[in-house]
Order: sequence, then structure tokens, then C-alpha cells
Amino acid sequence: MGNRVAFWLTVVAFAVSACLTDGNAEPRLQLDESAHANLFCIDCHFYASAKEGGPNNEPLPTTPEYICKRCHSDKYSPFAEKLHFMAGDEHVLNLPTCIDCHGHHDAGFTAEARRALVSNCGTCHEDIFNMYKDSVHCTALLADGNLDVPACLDCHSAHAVGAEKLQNGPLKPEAICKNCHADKKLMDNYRLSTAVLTTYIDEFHGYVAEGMESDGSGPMLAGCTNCHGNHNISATGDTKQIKDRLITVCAGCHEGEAVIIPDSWLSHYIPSIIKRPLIFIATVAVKGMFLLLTIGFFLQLFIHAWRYLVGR
Amino acid sequence: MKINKENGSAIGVGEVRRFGRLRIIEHWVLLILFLLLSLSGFAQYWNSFAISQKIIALVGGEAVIRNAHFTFGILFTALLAVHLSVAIFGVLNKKWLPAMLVSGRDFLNMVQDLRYYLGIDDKPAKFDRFDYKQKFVYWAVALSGILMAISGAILYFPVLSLKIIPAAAIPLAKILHNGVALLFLVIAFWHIYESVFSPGSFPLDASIFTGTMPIERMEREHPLELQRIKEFFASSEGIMEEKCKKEL
Repeated sequence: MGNRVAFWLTVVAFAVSACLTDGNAEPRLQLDESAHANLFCIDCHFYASAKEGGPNNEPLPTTPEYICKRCHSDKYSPFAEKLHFMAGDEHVLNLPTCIDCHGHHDAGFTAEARRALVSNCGTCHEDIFNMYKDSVHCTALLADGNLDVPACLDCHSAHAVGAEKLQNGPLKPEAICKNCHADKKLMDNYRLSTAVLTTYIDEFHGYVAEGMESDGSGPMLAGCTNCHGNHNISATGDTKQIKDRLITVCAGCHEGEAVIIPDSWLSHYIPSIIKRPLIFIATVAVKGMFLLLTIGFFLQLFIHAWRYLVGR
Repeated sequence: MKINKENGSAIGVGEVRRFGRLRIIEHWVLLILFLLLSLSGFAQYWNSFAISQKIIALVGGEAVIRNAHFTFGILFTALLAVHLSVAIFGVLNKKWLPAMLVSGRDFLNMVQDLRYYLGIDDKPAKFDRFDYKQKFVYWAVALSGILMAISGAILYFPVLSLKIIPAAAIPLAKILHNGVALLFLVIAFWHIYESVFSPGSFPLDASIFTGTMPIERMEREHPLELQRIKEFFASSEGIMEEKCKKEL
């Protein structure tokens, strides 16, 4: 028993020292800094001695994801069902695998890595990257190093990038956008109102969107991305630009009166005496009437009770 | 106003007919439509509650309940239009008494009633065909109903409406439709209390369902109307005598 342990310890030591000599010190140093500091070289580079067969005992290709899957099978499964992997099945080279995003010896997901990822995806998705580049989110990300903004992975989950959802229409938008834009603490830093979500849901399109299933099925009228765009979201300062864009967007479903439809949208503003005073006054008036009538009703109850119980 | 006296076969002894058949039907239709509109409307308005979800699921989904609400709304608008047309025609052409119109006397009655209930005065106010509370309910329902009908139409046909109304009217219509719905709810509760549970009406003022009211109750609740009926009956008997004499 002791002999066996000693034997394997020697093998490991030999393998480790073999890795470290022969000019391989740098990977070990990188590994020590990474999330995999507790691993040995042979934990991944095992294929020199081991052969793992497929279901029909055919030899598997020694691409990296087959290595990562051994420990990270929960991340591998959604990846394996989705777009990047499926396209890889057709032996198209240059598709991203685990190490393209996570690195290998320096595997880990630091904030800087997230930033680098934008150009990473952009190497293949160049046209989308060009759209994203000018958006208010990307400007803040790349120029100011602002990590509060969404990059590729925040909307397109990394491992389960869904082809069918992207092609067949928007995902339930507030499920993604609201993660930031309904977070008061976050939005206060940028002086953006979190009422954008509630004003949207208050209105008919949002009301219907709320009725959608979380997987994106169900009727969908207009979500955040229909009006604001997705990759090329611009800041909302220029309302004329947005209104002009809205005319095309509204015309997509509403024929005929598309030119004036945007005027009927309160632009996420809660009516106040300054913004949309007429609607504000109407709101106050109906609420006031409701209060008045309710008070009157209870007053009558009280007066009746007074007469019949307390009076003669 | 149709006036009938006790002829034994139509109404019981000691009862006075107050409403004809059509008025009774109108009220029933209003009652049922209001219930249906409330259910289908508030299930959509307060759709985050479990009970609303249950109702929506029961009828077959969001689209079904939305269309049902619209259909009931159309029927309600039709009822409104028919009733108002008949009422105006009756008053102008057939010389019906415009008993529902509000006058200064109703405000005086209200003050008198308040004094009575607070114990300041001995006797309550005397009412004609409709007291000030009933007139309030009637006009509240009529005017709110018109607002609901118009705002509902705008909400159901927003793009079509833009041909005749400014764009800002659409969010306005939404505010009005939702707000006046709540007003309707309060009015309904108030009306049910007044007609069913109020000390003067308990157990139930059934005259809108049966069309008749016992004379003692008439003397208590609508003495001026009773007096008018008696006077007309007395004078009409005189007229009948004259007519018969002439024919003979």
C-alpha cells in the first residue's frame, strides 16, 4: 500500500517538474493567479496518456470544452444545447469555446475580462459590435470603464445563447432591462428615473407584455427594445430623434395614423402640473371625486347611525 | 308618468303602481350589465391579484375577457342611449313629468334631512317621486356612464379615434376610464346601501322590481307623489264622468 502511494507521488512529481522545466514556468505562474490555482497541469493536459471514448467508443476530439466539462458540466450543458456549440457541430472553425472567453491558464472572470469580451464577441459579430460601439452603454463601458452598463453577456447569457429567441422576436424585455433600470440605488447614480418600468406597465403595451410567459411565448406588442433599439441604444436627451424613430416603429403595427401616435405616449413621464398638465388635472379630479364620494358615503352611514342609535 | 289605480288584477290592494314594465326591464338590464362590466373590468385593472387571475383563466384568457368587457360596454351604451332617448321623448312628446330633474327643492330637502338626522328638527323632508339621493344616483350613473362609454370606445379603438381626437386624449381616456370605474363602484355600494340596508328602506325597496309600492310606504317616502296621484285620480274620475255623459 505504501509502495503504491509512493509510486504515484513520484509520477505526479515527475510530471509536475517536467511541466515546469522545459520552459513551461509561465503557465504555472498564470495558473497560480487564476481561479484554478489548486489544479495541476495534468488535470487538463491528460490526453497525453488518457484516451476517452465517445458513446460508440470512438475517440473524442481533444478540444478544450471536453476538458472543462469534466468539472463544469452544469455550464457545459446549456452551452452544448445552444447556438455556438451547435454551429460548431458543423465543423465550422473559429467558433468560441470555453477558452475563448474564459482563457486557459488565466481562467477566471475579472471585471477587465468582461470588458475585453465585448471586442471578443465583436471579432465575429462585427456588424453588431459596430452598432453597439456607438451606443450609450458601450461608450460608458469602453471609454469610462463603467461596469454598470450591460455588455454582450448581460443580455445574451453566455452559455445559453439562444438562436430561436433572437430570431423570433425580442425576449421579454423588462426581464432584462429592468434588472438595472428598475434598481433605484443604481439609477440614482445616473439620475435616471426608475418609473420607466411602472409607466410602461401602466400602459397597454406594457400591460400585455406583463402577461407574456417568462420564456418569451405569448402575445408581444412593443417592448423596450422595439422603441429604444437593442444594440444601438442612445441616450434619451434628443427627444425629436426618438419621436422620429417612434413613427417608424409605431407604423410597424398601426397603419394610417403613425405620425401622431407617438404624441399619445407619455414618454415614461408621470403626468405632473408641468408635464402634461391636462392629464394631471384629470387624475387629481377623479381621485378627488372618489375621495369625496367615499367620505360622503361614510358620513351618511354615520349620520344614519347617529339618528337611529343615539338620537331619539 | 303612467298612472294606474288599484284595479285588483294588476296590483295588490293598498299598492300604488310606480314603474311600468319597461322601466323594470331597464333596471334589471342595468344591474346585470353593471355586474358583468365590473367583473370583467376590475379583473383586468387589478390583474395582479389571484382572484383576478382565476376569473381571467375561467373565461378563457386575457383576450376573451377584454372582448367580453367591450361587448358588455356596447350593450351598456345601447341601454344608455335607449333610456335617455325614451326619457327625452316621453317628457317632450308624451308629457311625462320630468321627475328626475334636480331643482332647488332637492337641496332644501337635503338640508332638512340633515337637520332631522342630527336631531335638530322633528320631521324629515317630504319627497315627490324621487328623493335627492335617488336623483344623485341616477345622474351619477348617467353622466359617469356617458364618460365610460366614450373613454371605453377611445381605448378600444385608439388608432381610429386619432382621426377625430387629439393624441393626448388617449392617456386621458385611460385615466378617466379607470377613475370613473372606481367612482361607479362607490356609487353602486352607496345605492345598494340606500335601497336595501338604509333604516328607511330596510329590508328592500322593491318598487323597481315589482313596479308597485304599498300605500303606507308611499305616505312615508314619497308623500307628494301619492298626493298628486290621488288628486289626478279624483279629477280623472270627474273627467271620466264627463266623457261618459257626453257619449251617452
